[in-house]
Amino acid sequence: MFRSLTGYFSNDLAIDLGTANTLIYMRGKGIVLDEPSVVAIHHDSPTNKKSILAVGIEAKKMLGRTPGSIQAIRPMKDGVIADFTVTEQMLKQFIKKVSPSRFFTASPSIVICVPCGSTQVERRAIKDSALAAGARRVELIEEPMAAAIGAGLPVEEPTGSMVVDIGGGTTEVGVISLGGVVYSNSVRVGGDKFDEAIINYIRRNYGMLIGETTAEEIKKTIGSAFPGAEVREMEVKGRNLAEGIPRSFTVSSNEILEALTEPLNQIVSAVKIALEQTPPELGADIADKGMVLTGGGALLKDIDRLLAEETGLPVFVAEGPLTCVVRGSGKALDKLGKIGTIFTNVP
Amino acid sequence: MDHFQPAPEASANPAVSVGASLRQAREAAGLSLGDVADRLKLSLRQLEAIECDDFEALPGAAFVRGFVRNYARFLELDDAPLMAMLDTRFPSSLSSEPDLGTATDAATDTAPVVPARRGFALAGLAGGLILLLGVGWWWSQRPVEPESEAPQGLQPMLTEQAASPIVAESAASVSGPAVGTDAASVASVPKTAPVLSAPVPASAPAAASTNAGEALELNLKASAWVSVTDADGKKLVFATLPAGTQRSLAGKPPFKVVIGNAPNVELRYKGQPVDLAARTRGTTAKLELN
Repeated sequence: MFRSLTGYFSNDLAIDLGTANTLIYMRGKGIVLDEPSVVAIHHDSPTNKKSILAVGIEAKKMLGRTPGSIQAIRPMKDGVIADFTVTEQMLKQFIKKVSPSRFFTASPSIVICVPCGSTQVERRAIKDSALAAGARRVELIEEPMAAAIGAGLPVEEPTGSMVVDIGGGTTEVGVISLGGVVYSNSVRVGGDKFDEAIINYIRRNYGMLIGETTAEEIKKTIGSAFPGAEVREMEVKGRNLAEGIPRSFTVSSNEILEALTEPLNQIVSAVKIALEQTPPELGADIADKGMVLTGGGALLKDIDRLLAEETGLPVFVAEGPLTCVVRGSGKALDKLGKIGTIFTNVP
Repeated sequence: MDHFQPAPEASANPAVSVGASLRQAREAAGLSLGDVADRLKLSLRQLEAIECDDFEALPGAAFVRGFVRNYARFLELDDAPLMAMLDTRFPSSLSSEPDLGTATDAATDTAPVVPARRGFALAGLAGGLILLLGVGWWWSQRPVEPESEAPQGLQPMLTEQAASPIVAESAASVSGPAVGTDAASVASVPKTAPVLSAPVPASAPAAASTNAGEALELNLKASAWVSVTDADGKKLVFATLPAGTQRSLAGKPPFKVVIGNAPNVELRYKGQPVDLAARTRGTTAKLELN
């Protein structure tokens, strides 16, 4: 009874703790935070004390531009916590940011997404981080499930739905029926791997070094996953490795397509494996309905076309792919405390 | 919008249904349904359903919107007006999700719900607080009553003892009614007054004979909880005594006495019976003896 009473005063949250971005959804308010998962830490050398300097957007601006005493780090790597204490601090800061400053606030219930490929240890770490950040209760939800709910798929019906969530660090493929995940698979390929592939391609073929931010811009501007009719070009500035001097050069969309082939193939094979492993009845449903793409990676041009051609199934991108997971988790908040299989258990 | 508009004879105006505008665009591009099916990997049945606005034949809202958007994109149509037309029947997952509860990001939907719940919660909390305050007040009042009663109850004993020679004298010399009025005026508690005033002449010598230390006598007809504390805070008795117990207690007055099951306990103080009934609440008697 007391729990339900405090529930009225707390603002229950759903958190998509992503490799690239952290999104927070507040019950009744919608998405209240969307910031990069970056923390800037200040080292005080005489006392050897560490303190948080900035989180989110401010900290991202510092990435790669910090003096020795400041460290800007991304505590999440490949969809899991790489640095436990920093993640905890980041969560704390974000939760504080979105919680209205009131005289009397109860700690919130939190739903957090985890990649389906994460181990029990990694899940435990995420759960403990959230509890340490002041949560009253923490439930974990697998990302494909959250993405499917967010995309508006009929997850609770006895029909198979397939969702492919291409995030910053991981790509999650899930087949969902009757409110449960029938099959799920996670490959550690995502937006970051696309950027990396572009950097490597340009270094190899142009002898130029570009940064992650530039690579991301190239991907967003001319990147595509399927050869299109028109070839687009973009002027890029980087450091010539041989001369050591910044130079400008032009890359075309076909070159970027070539650069992205390898990570895209990994996603395609993950999808194909998922289809192979899906029970035939659900496979028939998927053949009829196709698969839904969510996550930032779904914004890559023609990635739906690539998957459609490779699998021969209808593929479409969900509306608001970037926020699908957090919106789905937010909707799952209402299911808290009810019997259901949409949440995953941590022993 | 009319989903079952039969023929697409009208030109591409906004009133034309989703399916009809897609069909028009497809025919204008010179594509067959087969070409589209090949490209979008949709079955001919599904494409026909889209073009006839028979969306019930498709798997669900998210799929209807996804398929129509893909189709429009393939035909290089602007999908925004088509999506707007679909909004009423197949709301976007971005706005609301009827089968997954009320708390969606559509703030207008939840706006009336949340304050109502808040209101209930606040009313409940306020009620709870009032209740708590009431209980607290009652508790704080409870111990006060015996205290306020104690002077009233004990005063007669003191005055009686102090006045006992006078009373005895007056009882001996003066007429009977004088004693009644005197006792009544001194002791405003009529219940104790007769009890105390009656045995006074008899017990006065007895009180003198008893040891000053051995002041309290307990006689239990049934088992009862008894606690007696003397002026030094020493607990003379602090236990449930069995039936038939007779005990004399010595200590330094004043004594604080608490007796459970008081109707079955006789208490004598300095040889005089103490009327417990007057200080009993429920079955528990609390009193202080000087």
